[in-house]
Amino acid sequence: MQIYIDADFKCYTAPKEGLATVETAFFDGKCAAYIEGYRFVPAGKTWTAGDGTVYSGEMITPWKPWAELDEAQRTYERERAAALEAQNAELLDAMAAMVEDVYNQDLAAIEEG
Amino acid sequence: MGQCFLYGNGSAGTGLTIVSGLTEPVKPKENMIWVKSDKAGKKYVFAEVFPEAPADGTIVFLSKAKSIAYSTYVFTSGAWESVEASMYVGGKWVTVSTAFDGVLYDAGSRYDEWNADASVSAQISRSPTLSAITRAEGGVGILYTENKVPIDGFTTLHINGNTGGGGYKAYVTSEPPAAGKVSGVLASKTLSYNSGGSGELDVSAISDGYVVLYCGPGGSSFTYNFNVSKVWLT
Repeated sequence: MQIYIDADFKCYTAPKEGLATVETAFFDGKCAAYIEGYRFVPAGKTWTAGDGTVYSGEMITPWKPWAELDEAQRTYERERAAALEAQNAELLDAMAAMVEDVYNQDLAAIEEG
Repeated sequence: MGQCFLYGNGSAGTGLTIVSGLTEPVKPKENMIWVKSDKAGKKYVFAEVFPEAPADGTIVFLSKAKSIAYSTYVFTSGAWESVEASMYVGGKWVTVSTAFDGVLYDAGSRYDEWNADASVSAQISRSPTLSAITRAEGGVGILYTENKVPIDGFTTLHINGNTGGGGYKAYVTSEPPAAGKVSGVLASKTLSYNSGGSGELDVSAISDGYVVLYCGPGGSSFTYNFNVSKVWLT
C-alpha cells in the first residue's frame, strides 16, 4: 500500500503537498489512526531524535504510544466486523426475499397452468 | 507457555516473608525476600508473565521452572520498574535477581533466554556470540527472546551483529515467531551488511515486546551464519 511521509518521517494516509510517497506492506490491514501514529524512515535516510540519537533507515516504529494505536486498531476491526455482519444480514434478507419471489412466481405459474 | 500465578500479601505463610525498602532489613529471618524499592507495597505475585491490571506497588517475581525469580518488578505510576531482590539464606543476603540494566545479550551473558526457530532448521549457539546457523534451502535464521522484554523507560534498542551478506532485520513484536514467520510486528529496522551489521531502533513509544532478529532466507548450497555479539536497551 501507499503511505505518505513528512520531513520528520511521520506517516499519513492521504496525499498532501510536501509529503513523499512510500510503498510498503508493513501497514496492510491497519487503520488510518494506527498508520498515522508511526514514523517511516526510508532506506538511505536518517532521522535524529530529540536526544540527538541518529537512526538510519529503513526503520518503521511508532512515535505515539503503541498501546493507544493498538486500541485504535482493535476498535477499527470491531467496527469493521460489525459492519460486515450487518452487510451479510442485509444480503441474507435480500436472498431470502428473492427466493420467496421465485417460489411465488413458480406457484402462480403452476396454478395458472 | 503456561501462565502460572502465585499471589501473596506480605507473609506467604509458607516460610517466605517479603519485605521492601531501600536499606537492608535490620532483623532478617531465614528465607526472607528483600525487594530493594521504596515504592513496593505488600501485594506480590510469582508469575511467568506480568499480571494484567495490577495495583500500584504490586511486586511481581517473574519466575520459570528453573528459577524462583529471574527478575523482579514493582508497578509504579502505570509502569513496571525493574528492581533488585535478595533472599536471606544461611545467615546472609543472596541476590536472586538484579535490576534490569537494559542489556539483553552481551558476549554470552544474557538477561533472559534466547531461542532460535528450530522449525526452519536453525541451530543456535549462545556463547561467545548469539548465532543462528541454517543449512536448509529457504531456511532463515531467527533469534528471539523467550519472553517479552520490559521496554518502558528505555528509548533505543541497539544491536551489534553480522551476517555473511545481505544484512538482517531487528523487530519488536507482540508475539514470538513461529515456523519461520515473524508476526505481530510493532517496530522494524533493517541492518544492512554495508553498515557493518550494527544499528539502532527507536522504541520510545513501546512498553514491552519480544526482540526478534531475522536473517534469511538461506540457500541450499551454503551455510548461513548469523552472529550477534550484543543486544541492549538504553
